[in-house]
Amino acid sequence: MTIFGAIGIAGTGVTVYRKWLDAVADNVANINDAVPTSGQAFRARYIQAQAVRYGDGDGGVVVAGTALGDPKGRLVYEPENPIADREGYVKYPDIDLGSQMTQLIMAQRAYQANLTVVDRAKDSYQAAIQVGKG
Amino acid sequence: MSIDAIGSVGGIAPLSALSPLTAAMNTTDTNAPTAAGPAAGANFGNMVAQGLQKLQDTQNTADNLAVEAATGRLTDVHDYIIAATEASLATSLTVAVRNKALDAFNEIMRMQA
Repeated sequence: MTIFGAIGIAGTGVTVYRKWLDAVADNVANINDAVPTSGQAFRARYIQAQAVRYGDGDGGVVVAGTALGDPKGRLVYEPENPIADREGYVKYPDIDLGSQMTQLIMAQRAYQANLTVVDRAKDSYQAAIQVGKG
Repeated sequence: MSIDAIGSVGGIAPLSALSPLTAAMNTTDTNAPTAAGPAAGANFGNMVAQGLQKLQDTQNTADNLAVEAATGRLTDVHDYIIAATEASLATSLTVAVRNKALDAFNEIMRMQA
């Protein structure tokens, strides 16, 4: 426990959502990676958040790990593609852009919410320091 | 930014000027609560020294992150902002405690007037 606990706790939240934003950005950036059907498609990254127990630890949240999506992807018929197999198929990552955009908005709003907590906590601590002045 | 000079305040001696006052209080009224002796004064000094050390640590953290931001090694923007906020708050708190202690001391010094 540190003296300005709320600021540090909200800071861990900001870090987690920054990583989530990075993961979504990575998934969207690789959404059109075509690979031969013999290879592995790009695996979507999913951030797994885990709470740090308040009391034992400092509270807050950490990224426990990254889950990876299905490497099987989905087959798309593109016979003009140079890496297509004999039947004319290539493999694309099985990522839904709509789902990624939803996650992007969730991560962005949560990032902003945690920063607002930092700001409010700072105002609160400042008010406490001002007690008895003047 | 180093504030080592302020650290020397941590070595502040117990308020020796108050010792005669304590003695006088003890002789006039033996039932009076035993006033804080030199030991308590030393504890306050230690407390101030520890507080300043913690303030120095927060300032160092913020400074290191500022250097990382300037050199492009900073991975999280908010890390620096949060460290700077904490350093600013710690400084305000230390100054507030210093002012309160100074006010109390001045109040006691006015008693002789």
